[in-house]
Amino acid sequence: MVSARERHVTSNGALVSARGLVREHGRGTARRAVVDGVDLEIHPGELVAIVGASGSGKSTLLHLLAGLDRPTSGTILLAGTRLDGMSEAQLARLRQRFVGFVFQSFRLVPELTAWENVLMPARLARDLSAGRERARVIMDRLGVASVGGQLPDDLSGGEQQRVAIARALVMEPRVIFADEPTGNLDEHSGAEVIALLRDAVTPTRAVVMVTHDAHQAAGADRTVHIRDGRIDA
Amino acid sequence: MTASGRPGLVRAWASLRTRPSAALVAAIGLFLVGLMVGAAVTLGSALSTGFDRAQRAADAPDITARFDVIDREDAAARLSGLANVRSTSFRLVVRHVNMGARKDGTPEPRFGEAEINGLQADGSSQGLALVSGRALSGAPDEAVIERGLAEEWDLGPGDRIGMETQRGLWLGTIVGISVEPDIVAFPLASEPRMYVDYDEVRERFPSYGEGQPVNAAYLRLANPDRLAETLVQARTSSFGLTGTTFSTRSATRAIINEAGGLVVALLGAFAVIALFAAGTMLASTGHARVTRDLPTIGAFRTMGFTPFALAGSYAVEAAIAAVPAAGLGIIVGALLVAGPTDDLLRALNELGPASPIGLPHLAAFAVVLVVAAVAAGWPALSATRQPVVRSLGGASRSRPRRTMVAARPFILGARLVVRRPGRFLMSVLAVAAALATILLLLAVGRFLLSVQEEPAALGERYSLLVNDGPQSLDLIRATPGVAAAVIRYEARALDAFELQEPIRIVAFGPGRDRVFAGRPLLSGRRAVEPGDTEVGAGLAQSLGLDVGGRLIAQVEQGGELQLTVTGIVQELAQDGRVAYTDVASLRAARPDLPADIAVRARSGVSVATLRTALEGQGLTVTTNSGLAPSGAPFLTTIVALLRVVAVVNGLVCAALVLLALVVLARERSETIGVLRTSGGSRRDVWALLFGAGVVLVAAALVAAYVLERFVFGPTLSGMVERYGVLPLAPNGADVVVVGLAGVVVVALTSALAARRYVRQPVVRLLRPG
Repeated sequence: MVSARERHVTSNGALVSARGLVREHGRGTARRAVVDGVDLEIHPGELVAIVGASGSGKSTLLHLLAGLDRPTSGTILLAGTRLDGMSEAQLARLRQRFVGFVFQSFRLVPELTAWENVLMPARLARDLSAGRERARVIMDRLGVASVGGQLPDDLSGGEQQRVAIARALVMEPRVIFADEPTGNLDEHSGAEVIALLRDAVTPTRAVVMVTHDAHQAAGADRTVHIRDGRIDA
Repeated sequence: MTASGRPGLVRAWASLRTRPSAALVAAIGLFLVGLMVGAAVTLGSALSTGFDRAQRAADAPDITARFDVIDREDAAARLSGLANVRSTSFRLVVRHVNMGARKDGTPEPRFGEAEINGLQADGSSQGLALVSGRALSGAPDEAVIERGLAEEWDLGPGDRIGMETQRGLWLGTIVGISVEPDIVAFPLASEPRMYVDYDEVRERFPSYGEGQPVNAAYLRLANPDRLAETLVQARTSSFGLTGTTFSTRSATRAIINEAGGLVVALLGAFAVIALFAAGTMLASTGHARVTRDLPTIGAFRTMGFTPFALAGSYAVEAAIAAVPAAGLGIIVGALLVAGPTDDLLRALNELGPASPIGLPHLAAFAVVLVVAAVAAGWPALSATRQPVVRSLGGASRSRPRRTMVAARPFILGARLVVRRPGRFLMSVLAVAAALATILLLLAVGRFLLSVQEEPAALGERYSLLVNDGPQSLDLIRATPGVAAAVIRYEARALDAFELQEPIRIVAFGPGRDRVFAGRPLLSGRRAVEPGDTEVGAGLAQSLGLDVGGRLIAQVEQGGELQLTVTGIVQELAQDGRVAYTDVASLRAARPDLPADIAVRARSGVSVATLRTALEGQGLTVTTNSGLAPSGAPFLTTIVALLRVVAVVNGLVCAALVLLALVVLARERSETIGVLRTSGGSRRDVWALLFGAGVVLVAAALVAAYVLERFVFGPTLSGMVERYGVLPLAPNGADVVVVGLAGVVVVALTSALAARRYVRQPVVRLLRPG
């Protein structure tokens, strides 16, 4: 029997668990909570959509869950590890092993080819030889193997986002966080990307996606509504 | 002010206020520029004005006449006929007087030889610039001593001093410390000077004659512009004065230059080049700032800003930042080099400015403000020439190339930094300017060391001089370890046509080639016939001599010498005022000229061993120590000065690299954010910045080599052309050393910049703007 710790989940099987999460911005009288007392769990095998209006705090919540930002208070467990108190080096190692991230504006490095962009996390993890094989398979599956030698500027928006998803997948992370992944795409490309993210969900992996598009959110296993930094019941 | 002028000011102020980190980066750049300018201006202005300042402070004579002892009235009568003389004062000078002094409160006195100057306390400066205490009052037992002695022996007013006179021991009290700027200071000069009331000297040294014996006259002219005519008249009317030599201010300057003219000239020229480098840095930072702001400039233009208002706004912003930053930099730079510069001036018996910060610094500050404003405003004005829509799109980026090189963070950093070719070029130029000055500094240092320590670097194959005359030649040649020994004559002379400026005339006996290869020939041919001479470029320049011309000189204690100039040679010693001729011609002018023997050691025999062997035979031997004076304090001072300048340049270079990396990191924070999101550690961020820095420094090193080899080196050499063409090209070892140091600097600055970008949350790096 494999323990929860060894499966990198919490005792109740969650890949990501947030308790009493608060993130405040500003100082003094201008101080305000962008995320205000959020409790949330993400389990393997689910596609979770975080939905809310602009400025509701959904992206901030995603950043906190992914360990890209630090909460003002509250705790986060990611892959069975508490993020508070971790050094940046420890967080970096955690992201290498367990997290993939997809951005709205793709954020591919313009100086690198699509292939190099996909391979970058494997290189950072010193896992290049295995990473190459995985990158080949993933790019082939996502339909971007043929543009591997091209620079991001030469790719369409849809292709760029698929390359970004390939980059997020290359280390076979346990959680993929996607921040408005279709925000910069036309309807057709957006639907393709959602389908790819849907496909990325496996029994051991979860995908957490932020969107303000109710239609896309409808395709998720679970939808979390957020308003003024709080989860709507 | 244009309609959009005031908003321009508002924009400038708001930019400084709301972007403190950008303002800080600009301020650091301006501080560094100020640092270089402050150091360069302090060095250059102090060295170029120190002589004149000392001359003015001392009310130094326009002409100094030295002659055999004569009664004051007689001397005055002979000189009274001179037109254009404002005042004349006389001295009785006694050399090689044993003296001793004891600092108050210390038990042990120090002893040495001094030149005693008897002068009358008539209320005038007497050619002395007092730096401490007071002048002689005419009361007995008072002495004023020169600053060099006071510092070397740690003496001051109130300390006791004494001398052995012909009438027993004289004991007095030091009442003042002074500078007399007609020779370098003790211990560069072999004898320190001590000034005592004339009547005391006359009474204590009766052998100098009854009455009012004097042997030196100090003439101050009503119209110094007519110095040449007065000098000619003085020479003709001095009939009856024997052993007369005249010296002028320019001759005095030349004598002082003999001690360190080349070094001083190199340092002065170096300051000019440092200013050029600082200008390059300003232009670079101004250009970088505007390139970064192109979208903002585009946005302002859409709001109706006129080009001049926008350019003015950037100029004002730069000037506002420059006031505190450059001001502080200039002050710090000035203070850094003030100490060593003052030491150098002291060694040369010159006076530094009253305050380390003066008018030249204010002028330099104003220039830095203007250059900073223009360097920021001009690129902004240029940017307004392109269509608004292009400005809004930001600086043009070069299209990245697909490459087969694996995208390690190091390689990625290298690719990022060349992505904006305009900015990369300007950064390279700025770093290259700083590196080139360091390469130049190394070349200067290496050159000075070689000519200081290696006689061979001057073409002199002999390493020892035996001072026992030609009769010792056979004995020397028979000594084991001697490869060659040749008679060598050296005479001091004054040029007969111009302003009585000092010349050294050197002649070697048969076999000259075995001990002296000859100085590098700049033009003409070698002197081979009797009456031919090769003259140093400095001498040729000062007397307007060319190949085929005639050098006419008055040999000290001898007759006139007329020589035909057959060649101009590179002469580094004695300010280039040396002429090489044949023994017969020189001895014809002064038959009793004593000779030395130039001795060359056999290969494999150390100079020390050979010296011991020669001294063992009862010979008097001196070492040929190369070019500069062997005074240790002088060398120490020069080394200290070069070190300070090198440290300043090294700091500037390091900070420039750091600035370039900070700008890159700030601009590409998104890429760093993506790197970290993908699991990139601090080491990866460091590697990315390190890659960028290494490419920058590597490109700058190549540019610096070219800059030093083809611009700085030749320019510096040209600025001291009286010494001929100097070998100031960088060598491979210098480039390697500077390159390695550059890599270390990049590693450290990358770590510094990476630390900052790893400490903040990733999400902050991913935020736009």
